[in-house]
Amino acid sequence: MRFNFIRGKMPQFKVSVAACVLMMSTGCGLLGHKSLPAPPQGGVGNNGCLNNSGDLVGRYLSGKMSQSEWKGAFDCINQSLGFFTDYVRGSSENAYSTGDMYNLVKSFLITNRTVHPELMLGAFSLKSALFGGSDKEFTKEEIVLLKNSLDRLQGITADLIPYLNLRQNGNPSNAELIEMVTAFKRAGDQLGDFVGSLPVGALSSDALNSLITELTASLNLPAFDNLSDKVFLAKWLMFNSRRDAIENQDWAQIFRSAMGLGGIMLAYKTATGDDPLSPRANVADRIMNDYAFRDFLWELALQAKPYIESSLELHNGLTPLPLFDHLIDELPSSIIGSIPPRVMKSALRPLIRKLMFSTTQSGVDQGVINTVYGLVKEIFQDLGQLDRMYEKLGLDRENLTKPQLTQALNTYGQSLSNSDDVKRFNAIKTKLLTYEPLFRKRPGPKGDIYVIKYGPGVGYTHFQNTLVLALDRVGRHIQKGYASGGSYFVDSDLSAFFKDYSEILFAVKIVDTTVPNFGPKRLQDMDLFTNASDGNGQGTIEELVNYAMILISSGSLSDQMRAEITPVCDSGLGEDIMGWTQVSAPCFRSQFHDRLDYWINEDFPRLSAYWKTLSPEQKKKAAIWLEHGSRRDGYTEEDFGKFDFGALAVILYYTESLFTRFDLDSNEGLAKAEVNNAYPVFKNLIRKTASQKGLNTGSDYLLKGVFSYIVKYQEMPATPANVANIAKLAWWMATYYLPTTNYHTDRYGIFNIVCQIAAPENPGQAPATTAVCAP
Amino acid sequence: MKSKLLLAIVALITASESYASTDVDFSGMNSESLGTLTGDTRYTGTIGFDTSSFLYQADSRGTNSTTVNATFRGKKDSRLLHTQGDLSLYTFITNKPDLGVNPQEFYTQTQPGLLGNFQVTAGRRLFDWSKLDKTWRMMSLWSPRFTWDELHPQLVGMTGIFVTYETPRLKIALFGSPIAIPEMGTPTSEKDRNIVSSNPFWKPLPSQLTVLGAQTTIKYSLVMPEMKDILLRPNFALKARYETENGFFASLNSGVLPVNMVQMAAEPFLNTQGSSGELNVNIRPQFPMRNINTLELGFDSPYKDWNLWLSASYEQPFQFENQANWLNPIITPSSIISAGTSTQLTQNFRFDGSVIFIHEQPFNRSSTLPDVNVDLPSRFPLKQGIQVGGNWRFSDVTEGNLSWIQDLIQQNHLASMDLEHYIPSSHLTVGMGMDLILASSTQGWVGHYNGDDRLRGWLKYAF
Repeated sequence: MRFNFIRGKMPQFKVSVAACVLMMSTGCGLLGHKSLPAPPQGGVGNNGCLNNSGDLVGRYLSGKMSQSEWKGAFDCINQSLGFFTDYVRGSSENAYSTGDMYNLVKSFLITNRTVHPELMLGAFSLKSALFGGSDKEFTKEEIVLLKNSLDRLQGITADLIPYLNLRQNGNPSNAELIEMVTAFKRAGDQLGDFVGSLPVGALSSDALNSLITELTASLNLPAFDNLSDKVFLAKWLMFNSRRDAIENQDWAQIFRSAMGLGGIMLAYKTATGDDPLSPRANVADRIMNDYAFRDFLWELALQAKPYIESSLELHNGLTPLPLFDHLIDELPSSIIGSIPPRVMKSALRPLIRKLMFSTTQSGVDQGVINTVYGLVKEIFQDLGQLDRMYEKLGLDRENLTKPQLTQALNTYGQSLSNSDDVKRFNAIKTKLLTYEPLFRKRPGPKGDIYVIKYGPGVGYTHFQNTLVLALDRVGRHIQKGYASGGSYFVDSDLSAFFKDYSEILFAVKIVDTTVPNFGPKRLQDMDLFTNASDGNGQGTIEELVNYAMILISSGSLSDQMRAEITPVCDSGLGEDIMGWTQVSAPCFRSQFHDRLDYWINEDFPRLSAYWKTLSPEQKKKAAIWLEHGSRRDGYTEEDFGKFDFGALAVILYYTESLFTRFDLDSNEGLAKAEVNNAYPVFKNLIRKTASQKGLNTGSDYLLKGVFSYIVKYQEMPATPANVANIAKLAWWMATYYLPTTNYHTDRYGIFNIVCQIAAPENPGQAPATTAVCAP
Repeated sequence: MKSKLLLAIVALITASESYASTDVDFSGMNSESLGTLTGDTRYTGTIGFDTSSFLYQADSRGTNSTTVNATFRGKKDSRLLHTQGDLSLYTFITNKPDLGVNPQEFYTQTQPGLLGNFQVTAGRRLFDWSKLDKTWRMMSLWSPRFTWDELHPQLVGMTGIFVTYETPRLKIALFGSPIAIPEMGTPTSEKDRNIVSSNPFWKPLPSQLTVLGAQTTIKYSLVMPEMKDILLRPNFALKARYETENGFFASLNSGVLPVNMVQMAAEPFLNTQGSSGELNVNIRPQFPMRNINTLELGFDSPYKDWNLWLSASYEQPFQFENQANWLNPIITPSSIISAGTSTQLTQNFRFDGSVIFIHEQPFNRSSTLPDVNVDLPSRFPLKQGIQVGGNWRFSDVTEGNLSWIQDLIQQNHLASMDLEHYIPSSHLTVGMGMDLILASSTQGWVGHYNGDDRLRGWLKYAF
């Protein structure tokens, strides 16, 4: 080789090297960075399927999901599972341990929250229970089984989409919703069969609880205290299986029942609307007025019945009360509200035994189911016939005269051919015509309300007729459990009734348990002050229904009084035990006096007209008498609460009911004959009062004498028992029966009589009554 | 959806076609002086450097890349045997100093006439297998390549036993070998769980990918098969060519040969053992075999001033691993059709032109990788392309080459131009050239080099 190439060749070499060096530096990135097309974006392992799983399920259930989208969601999950088995390596070749899964979840799936290893323990336990195998590892074969299961689940649930979509298609018909229920039942059966074919095992409540706790914490889901306990308790209740585990035989039942009952609930929710604020009023209104809706509810109930009976069968025909006690203990406050579990449990027993007629008297049995379904069926059938009559004859729902209603009943009754229908409708006819038309619709503070109007122009309303039929059925049903007389209640019956339920009624702020003798007093009210009252000490169905109508109407007035007075009079006295803001007596009276005119203007037209004729002093006195006769301690300076509002409202109804019933000539006064007509009603009350004062007599002559004395002199006889008063009473007794002896009273007098006879029973109150009720 | 993992595959596949020094045909030029002669033994060599100056900046490379190369050639003739060989060494001086070693040929063969019309060759020999091979060198259809310069790969010989039979009309060659040496180029290696190369054309593999919704670091491992599995792949080939007196020819090749280009598969997986949230990717080089048959028909002017040829090949790859949880390269039976011409248009300018069309049977993507619906690149750099160019011989010491390649699928263009001058008095060769890439995407062989436009210069000293 020659290495002398440089010698004598330097110029050429230098030129060459210079050229190369120049070349090396020529480019040098002088054009800067080239703007290249963006590299492909993307990722591996679908992340979208589970991130929005909650939204997916929500959209599925709300009917916003298409078949293809639902399938796509499952495909996505299956692809993710495929990704998992293909691309995630665990500690062994064919299986993943809890540690493997934990590492994967915390590194990739849930990166923004703390994930505890316990989450995996629960998940693996669930896996083991559903797909068999160890709860320590998840084999690839089991993942394949999971994928197959998801395929099956997708197929079954996709069939429900057309029905779920009904929820978005305006207003689905009841028939369509029933089809949905059937579809859910079919899907539940399919799922049950499928789950039954899996190598299912047991799942402990501890494992499920851990899974739920960790899952809710990791995914930031709403947490439920002891949700697992509740689930297991419900399972125990439904399937009579262990409370601490889901056993092999439970799984299929769970899926069947969950889907079947879920479909029923979904149909109900769809039919009643999704607005959580309005369903109750909406449902109540539709139950009252829409027989198609009632038929729909009845069909839902029938669909649910097999599940209930199946549950009962699993309990060998009796689901014992203690099991319900456990359930009550676990019920969330959102369901039981302010009702203490103890109270609910306490009320449950008489409810099951005396009102649902448990055959065994030990819990829910077939007798209970038959009772509940039977009662609802009877009511719905009664109301159904009524509604169909209105529909068929095009009747005015707000005002039918008695002849019109009678004619309609006759016409419709003649159109029936089925003997059972005819028999039922004849009973309906009798019931409806038993009651005078009372209710009319008028605007209330929060929309239209039905209240009693004591005046002309009141006809039968659909509301009243519906109420009558429903109350009649319910009343007679309660009679079966509580009426010692068979067809009527006596004091002790209502005492027993309220003893059984007063606590729960107090918990829901319906009954004030501090009122002594609550039951007997209610019996006395219905026995004296309704259109059907006969004062015989027995509460019949007619009295009960009339009384209920008065309570409904006076409740509306009471609410109106509260709404208008409380804001004005609220001086920070706090709430009473019934949850109403207490107001001072002076302020209440002032407002009551100011507003009574217009409160009674529409519903008590005769009273209103009469009231206007009274002087201010008389009005004041009348109001004092009413107050003394209505409040538990009479006319006192104690603050006004719910009881007082209600009592004053209802006593207006009592007096007006009484007066319009006996003032046959509508002259706003009760003449001697009219008073005598009223005497039988008050006879027992007089006898009872006399007895309390030491006069035990069954003599009509004496009792009527006392009654007419009160009417005549507007005071209790021989009060105080001085010589003059006794002589006055004796003279009256001797002369009142004479044709020439006359006595009468007007409304003012009636108010006074109320003050006298409805005064507090406490003997210590007698002087106060004498003073307050003095004319 | 195209994943970043696609980039990894593309990068790895193209990386296998790495860098080679400019391969200007010096035949007829006195580019090398004779070395010391001892009897019939002759040694020659060159030493020099090539430099590339990139017009655009890139994060993955510098703006200059310079290679020092040295080539040693030797020949020895005896009465019975002719032996010759060469060895080229390459190393970067501007990049990491990797060493590239390329023996283009190294063989011993019987002297012509010793065995009549037969001749036996043993060793590594660059054999003229087909017109297509010489024209579309990036295809690596018959002869393997040395790819130090990925844009201008160099054909190299196959290693084995050659038996040729030659008459004026009929030429038959039979090749057989117990081993197959894969194509080589700039070394690629694993470093810090990444795949790296000092090749300036090396495109770094994606370092992050969205996995299960989380941005995830990718860690690579190079999983090489055992060396015996790479090398011990018996292969053989047969070529029979018949040409008429007036210049028409037909040749038929058939062989069981390795797929010369190394195919890369990627095996991604998440390892839950002590997971720190990384995606692991095993890069698994594949060394498939194939059955290949090529039929070429054409005309070579008796005056050698023009030719026209048509080439059709069909190959069926086999012996490769293709797993469902890998991203697999497309290895399917393929048909390759090409036609070309070379015409001496003027006294000092020769025009070359060719078209190529390749049909790969549809690739049934067996990967189960969800969300990676990758349109994997073909193992053929161009599936449809056109190439025109020419050679200017300005003087006995100066010549130039021009080529323009269009990727008809991606509509990308590569234009290359070389100009070289030999200085006899100093035994120096100086050259310059440029590669311009006109691309609208980064897809395809040309597109892969989008942004790598460069000026080139080289200087060689022959001894």
